[in-house]
Amino acid sequence: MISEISIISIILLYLVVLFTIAWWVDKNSERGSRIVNNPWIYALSLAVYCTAWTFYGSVGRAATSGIDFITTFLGPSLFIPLWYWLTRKMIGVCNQYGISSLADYVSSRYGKSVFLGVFVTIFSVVAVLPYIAIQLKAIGTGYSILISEPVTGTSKLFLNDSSFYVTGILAVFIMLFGTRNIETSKSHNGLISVIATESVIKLVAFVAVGVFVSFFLYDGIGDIFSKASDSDELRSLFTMPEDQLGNWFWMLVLAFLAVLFLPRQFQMAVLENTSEKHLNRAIWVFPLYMLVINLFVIPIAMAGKLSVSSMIDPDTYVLSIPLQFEQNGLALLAYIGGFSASTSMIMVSVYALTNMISNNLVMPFVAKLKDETTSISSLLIITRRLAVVGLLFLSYLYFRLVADNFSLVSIGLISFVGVSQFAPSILIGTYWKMGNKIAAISSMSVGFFLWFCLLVLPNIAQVGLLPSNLSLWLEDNNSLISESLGMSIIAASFFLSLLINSLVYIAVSLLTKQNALELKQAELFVNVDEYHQSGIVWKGTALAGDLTSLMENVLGETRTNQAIVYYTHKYGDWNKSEIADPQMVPYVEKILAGAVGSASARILVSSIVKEDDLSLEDIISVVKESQELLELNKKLKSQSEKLELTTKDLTKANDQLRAMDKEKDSFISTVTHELRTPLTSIRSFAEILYDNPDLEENEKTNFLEIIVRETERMSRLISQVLDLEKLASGVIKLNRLQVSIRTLIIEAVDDVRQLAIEKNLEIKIQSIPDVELELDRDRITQVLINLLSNAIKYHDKGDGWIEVSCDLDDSNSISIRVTDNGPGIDVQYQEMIFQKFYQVKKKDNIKNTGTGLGLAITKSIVELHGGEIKVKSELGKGTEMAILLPLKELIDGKSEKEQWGA
Amino acid sequence: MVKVKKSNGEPEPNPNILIVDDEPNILLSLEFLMKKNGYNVFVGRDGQEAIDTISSEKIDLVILDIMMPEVDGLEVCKRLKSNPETESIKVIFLSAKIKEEEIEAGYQVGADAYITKPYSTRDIVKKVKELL
Repeated sequence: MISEISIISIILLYLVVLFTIAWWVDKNSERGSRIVNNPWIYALSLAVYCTAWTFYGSVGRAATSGIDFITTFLGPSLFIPLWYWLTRKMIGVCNQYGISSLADYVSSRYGKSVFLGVFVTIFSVVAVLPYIAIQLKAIGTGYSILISEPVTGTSKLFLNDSSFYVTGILAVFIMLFGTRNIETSKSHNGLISVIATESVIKLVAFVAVGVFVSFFLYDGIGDIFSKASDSDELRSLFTMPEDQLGNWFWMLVLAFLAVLFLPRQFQMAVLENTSEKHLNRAIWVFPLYMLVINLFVIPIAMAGKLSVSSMIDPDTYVLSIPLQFEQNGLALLAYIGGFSASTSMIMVSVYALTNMISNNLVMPFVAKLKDETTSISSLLIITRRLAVVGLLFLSYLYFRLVADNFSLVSIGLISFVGVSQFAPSILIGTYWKMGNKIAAISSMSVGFFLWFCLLVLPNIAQVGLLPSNLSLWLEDNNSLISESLGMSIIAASFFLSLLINSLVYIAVSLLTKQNALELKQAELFVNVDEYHQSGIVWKGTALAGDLTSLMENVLGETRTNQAIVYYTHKYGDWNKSEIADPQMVPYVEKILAGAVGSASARILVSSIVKEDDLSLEDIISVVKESQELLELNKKLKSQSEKLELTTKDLTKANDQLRAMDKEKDSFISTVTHELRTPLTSIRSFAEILYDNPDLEENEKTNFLEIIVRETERMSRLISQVLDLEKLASGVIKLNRLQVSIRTLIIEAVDDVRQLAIEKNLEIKIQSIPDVELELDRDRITQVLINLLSNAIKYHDKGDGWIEVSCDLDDSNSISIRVTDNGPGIDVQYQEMIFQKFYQVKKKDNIKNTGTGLGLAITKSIVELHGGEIKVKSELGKGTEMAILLPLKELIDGKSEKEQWGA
Repeated sequence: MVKVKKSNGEPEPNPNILIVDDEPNILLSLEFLMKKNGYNVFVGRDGQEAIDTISSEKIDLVILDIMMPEVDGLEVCKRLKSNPETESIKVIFLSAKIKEEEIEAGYQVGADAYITKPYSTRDIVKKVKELL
């Protein structure tokens, strides 16, 4: 046992530390420090999800009903990507429209409805108040265990009850750090950092107990498990029941919705978020936190079952195990951990509910009733303080009167199912524009009615507050539902209420119509990314001076001046004496919404503004406009993509043209170069002849002959260049006629016979098939003469031969070959000989007098006929040039190439 | 196999000129001209022949075509000018390459003159006399 004095002093010391942290952080943020703008603090503050229920209750639940406690933590972890996606959108909405609470979110989405704000506020209070009460209970119970008094706290006078004083201190704390700022949509740095600190403390404390139990009382977790498996009761407890799949699934979904819509979670994750980037940290830190804090739940539960008297409530194992083994220090640490879990939950929940009460319950009526002299800012602060005290007092009362009869877990889960009734209206409404106010009201009413009948009433009945026949009927009814669905009553109630809630929402939305304001708000919420101004449409007149004094009344002078400075910086002048710019009114309304809630802000603004009613047509035209803009954007994008493609094509074509241009350039440069050579000789000899009249006769003749030959060479070159150009550009049309191939060959050979005789060469003609083909007689003769004269020109043997043969290869083509036993062509040059201006050197390296264009022209002509030319040669053994012509085309007419070229 | 023709009848120490071109008619005309002006003439038909002649004969001036098979004129000139024994030999390029950068390339390798084809034989003679 631990003395009361030491416990009280440690609690007080701890509270002083928390106060100091909150005070220090708030002071620093006033000076502009950004300590709290930190992803770690954001992620840790989300762990406010882990309450005394986690700290004490998980162990209790594990010890009595096995591993299904884990669904509470597994749900949010499994669905964390979805959580990220939904939270990001809700953060965007809240930042954009200055939304200050969960109730405000619903109210604002459905046309800034005062009724919905009130509705959500009341149900949040009803659903969460018992949950706060059991946190107080956990503080009290833990205290009793530490000082070893019997846990019958309710019989005590409240003045002797430690929880009473703790409640009082918490009230002061929340008032100090939660209600100082008029604008609830601004972050509360002191409060947040305290929550983050407490998250760390409770994790450390719980892990410490876990480590103690696992490694000091037993030889590791394995040891506990093996000892536990000897006990039949424990073995059955930790065996996964097979038919519980549906149950588990719905419990996971339930926990996920709770993490979104418990007022304290919405407060921390959405409203207190300072940067969307922090979500990237939270998405892994938050699940990791839950994993770590749950690691030791089962070992502690098993150890408790094995080593602590069965008289002791498993909910208190975290404290009673260390006490039993006289680890008072550890027990105190564990108590502070549990205390942190409770107080952080209480603070954030009360704070979140306070905002709802002041902004969505009280302010709309104040705004309606106010006259010139009412100071809204002081009213706001008074309302909030009263709300804090009222909520905590009610919670305390609840704890003293009824909470004793329920376990931590059952109240927590009932609370979960309660807040999950907001899910259809918020989630569907955030993504579906047709969801409307009547649908939200009716679906939530149905949902809460079911929740109340299925879960709340039976619990009240258990305490004996209801007539016994009604209690019995409720009990029978529930077991019937539970059995027919094959789930626990919690899962079954959740499933049924959520299903009916959603169906009612969708059905009513489809059957009823929205008014103009609803339509506008729906558009603003669903397409939040498209509206970066504070509103889309507003019609009416107001004086800027009136708007200024309204802001001063609510926010005070300093904050009003800041807001005006920001406005002038972003939008334009703020001239008090003039009629307000249409942009000013939505801007002021947004700023005010951050302080008093959207519905109240709407009422306040409309009281000083002469507004024209917004017609449905106005809204629809704006919405349509934004859709048209979207459409236009899409079209522009596809247009620019097309343009990009065209540009690419053009660039490619340009490159091709440039390459062709370059080729042409190099061709021209080669041609002029080739022309310069004969020109040089001609000029040289002409000058020599002119300058030397005394030349010998044979020299004169020789030089004149050279001049004539070089002149011939030049004209040949020029005509061949022109010829080649015509062939290449496709200007030339083949003059196809029926020709006997035999006649053609004999004529060509006759043409070069004289040259061959001069070089003492024999030309042999092999048997030629007597066929008539349709081809350009002159061109093919040109080809044959070129091949024959090449063979003669390069021949270096005294008595060599040249042979011409012709074969019908198969039914498809005819080949004409010119073969010689001349010097042959080196393999490396065999491709190059068909290039323009390439000439194979003779053996003595003396350039021959050809133009280097003959084979290029030959190739072009053959290809124009649809055929090809091939060379087969070996150095020293001779050369075979073969022309292959496709028979079919030669008989049928034009080749494909010619058709395209023409 | 180096084909060297030594002119006859001229008394030493007449300067030795090497003419290198793969166009036989150009070779013929230049050979006639140089002999007419009293020089000893050697001829070559490609770059390798030119290098061989230079290493075996005392050459004073080379008239060099650029576009030749195997070793081209630029290469011959470069080797000539980078060797201390042959760097004093004058080099006149004769070429159908007439672009600015091609002429520049000729002077870069150390040529003493660059004459574009078609040229006047009178300019060639004048340039040779200038250099010797």
